[in-house]
Parts: sequence; structure tokens; C-alpha cells
Amino acid sequence: MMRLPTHARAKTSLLSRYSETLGELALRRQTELAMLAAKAESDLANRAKSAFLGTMSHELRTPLNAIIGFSDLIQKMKPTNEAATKCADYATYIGDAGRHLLEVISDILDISKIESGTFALSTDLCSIVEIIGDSVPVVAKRIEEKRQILEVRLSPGMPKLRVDPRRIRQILINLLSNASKFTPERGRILLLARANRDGGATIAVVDTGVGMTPEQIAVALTPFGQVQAHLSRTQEGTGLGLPIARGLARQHGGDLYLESEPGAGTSAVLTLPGNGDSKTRKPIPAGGGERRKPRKPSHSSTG
Amino acid sequence: MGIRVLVVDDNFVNVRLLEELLKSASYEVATAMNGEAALEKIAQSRPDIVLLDVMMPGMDGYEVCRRIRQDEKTAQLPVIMVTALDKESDREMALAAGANEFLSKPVEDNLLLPAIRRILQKA
Repeated sequence: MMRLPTHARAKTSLLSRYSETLGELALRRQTELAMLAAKAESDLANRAKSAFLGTMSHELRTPLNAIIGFSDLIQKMKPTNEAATKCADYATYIGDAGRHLLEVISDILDISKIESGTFALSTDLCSIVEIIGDSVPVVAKRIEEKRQILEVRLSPGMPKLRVDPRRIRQILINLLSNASKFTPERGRILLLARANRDGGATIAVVDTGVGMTPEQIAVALTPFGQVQAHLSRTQEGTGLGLPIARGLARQHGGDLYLESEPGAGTSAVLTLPGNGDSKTRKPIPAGGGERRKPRKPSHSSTG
Repeated sequence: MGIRVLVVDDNFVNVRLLEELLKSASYEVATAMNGEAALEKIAQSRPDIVLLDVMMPGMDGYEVCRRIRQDEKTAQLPVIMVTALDKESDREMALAAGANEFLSKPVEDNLLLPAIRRILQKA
């Protein structure tokens, strides 16, 4: 008779010990789950980072291959007349590769600063018309070589805006050289600029190239998108031009979007806000986010 | 007839570089600027060895290599992947696709030329 309570007491204490252990286990499991979630997140970030590093490494190694390889060849040459001619060719390859490398490095620096939010603009009150005027000559040679026609249409009353002129030029040069690259020989390229109601400006570069699908647009605006999508690629270069251009536009409180259909050419539209709200405006963070439904520039019907 | 090497790379300067390196080592060199052209040249002219880039427009180098291996006429053709990719996983991909060797750019001629000799000796 006395054994039962003792037995029960033993069971109770056993149960309470179980319950304690169970509580501990549950807590530990919870912590584990939280740790797993954190790990998944950091794995994803790491994968993105290693994809970025891998691509960066590839883009740096390609021109370095030419620079080191041709310098080695020159060093091993015997001084003959034939060698002198070859040397001149090799020097051209080395020089081109060096300049390309410089472009890759400054692209990588730009996109890193944009993505980490440490990009600093050096702004001044600038005439948008002047900036357009400074940008066009940079790409004129390329456009001439393909015998394309560039038409520039500026609406009256183009504003002066508080912008970083070097960076706006960089955007326009990128858009114009893309337009030239994707427009066939003897094709037409249009640059339209108008003043907006808010005192800002909209600049559209319209090409008559092959056009883009929505998927291609998304890839073109993603840093290293064209490389990440697959190992084959459609165009030379880092594929950073457009992501940088959009980052720079957003840094100014503006935006950049692409409007296109396969076969119908592509319009790249840059919007810059007026000076009025320049103090309160916040740059749209880089990356992510769907492009908002664009309003067509009012005079693009001719394009 | 000398040993014939087919260089496949979409980058003109890289093609020129490998061409010069190989010619200076007395190889005969043919070139192709993309995967499709490479497969055509292989079928036509039967090179002794192929140097193959990975990142090219259209068909990438891994796919070219797989197709070389799938065709019984070329299944034994030695292939060296020469690419600016440099991760261990890239090497594994290349070997899985059937490459005999994987070399990262910048290409060192004192690695490339011995690799070619070694693979041709085995073949």
C-alpha cells in the first residue's frame, strides 16, 4: 500500500524531468531553426557574392591574358624586320586590352559603390542641353562607322538641374553606344529630351534595333545578368553598363527604364527630377524592384 | 605534316595570342570563333587537338566538348579547356564534360605547351 505513492512520486519526478528535457529540446530546436534560417540567408548572399566574384575574375583575366601573353611573346622575339611589324600589332593588342581592363575596373568600382550605397555624387547646377551636347561627340565616331543617323530633338525650355554632370554624361554615353550597338548599319537613332512639369527632364534614346523581350530587359538591368543567365553570352563587355546607368539615375532621385518589343527597337528612358524636391528626395535603392509602368515620352510617337 | 591544333575562342585577341604561341612552337593552327564553327571545322579537318574556351556566344565550351565526346568519330579527340574561369567547380565542370585538361587564363606557355605534349603522347 505504501509502495504506490512512492512509485507515483518516482513517476512524477521522472515526468517532470522529461518535461524539463523536452522544454530544453524544444528551445534548442527553436534556436537551431533560427540558425538554419540565418544560414540559408547568408548562403544566398554568399552565392550571389561568389557569382559576382567569379564573373569579376573572368572579366579581369580576359584582358590580362592578352597583356601578359603578348608581352611574353615580345620578350622572346629575335630582332628581325618581321618581328618589328609583329611587335606593332602586339602593342596594339596590349594597349586595347589595357584600356578595356581600365573600363572593367571602373565599372566594378561603380557598381560596388552603388550597391553598397556609398556612391557620392558631385553635383552642380548644369544645363541638360549642354550635357547632351558633350555626350554626343563621344559616340559620334562609332555611329559614323556604322553609317547610322543620330537625330537629336530637344523641346524648348530645357531646364538647368542640380546633377553630377560627369555621371549624367556617363549614362547618356552608355545609352547612345548601346543604341548604336544594337541598331543595324545605316539605321536610325533618336535622342529626345523634354522638360517635365515638376521642373525635371526626361531624355529618351530610341533605337531601331532588334528589340528586347521582357526577360531580356530584366537580365540587361541586373548586374552581371547576362553572364549569370548562362555561360554563353550574346555581347562583349561586363554587362554592367545598364545596371550602373540605372543606379546613377536613381542616385539622382530619377530613374531609368527600358521599353521594347522584339522587332520594334528599344527606348531607354532617363527621368531626372526637378530641383524643387531635391532636398527631400531619397534615391531609390539599387537593384530589385519592378520597373514602373512607363509613360511614353509625349513626342515618341514619331520614333 | 605537323601537328594540327584547333583554337576555339570568341575573343579575337585571345585567338591571335594562342595562334602565335602555338606557331612559335611549330604547331599548325586553325581557328574558330564560336562553338558551331568549331564543330564544323572538327568534322571537316580533323585536328589533332582542340583548345576550347568556355564562355562564348551561342553554344558554350562545355556543350561543344560534350558533343565532341558523343560523336564516335571524335570521341577520342583530345580537348584542353582554356578559360578565364578559374574556380575548382569550373575545372570539375570541364572534366565532367569530357575535357582532358583545364587551364586558366592568363595562359602560361610553360604550362600550355607541356600539357599539349603530354596529352598527345597519351593519345
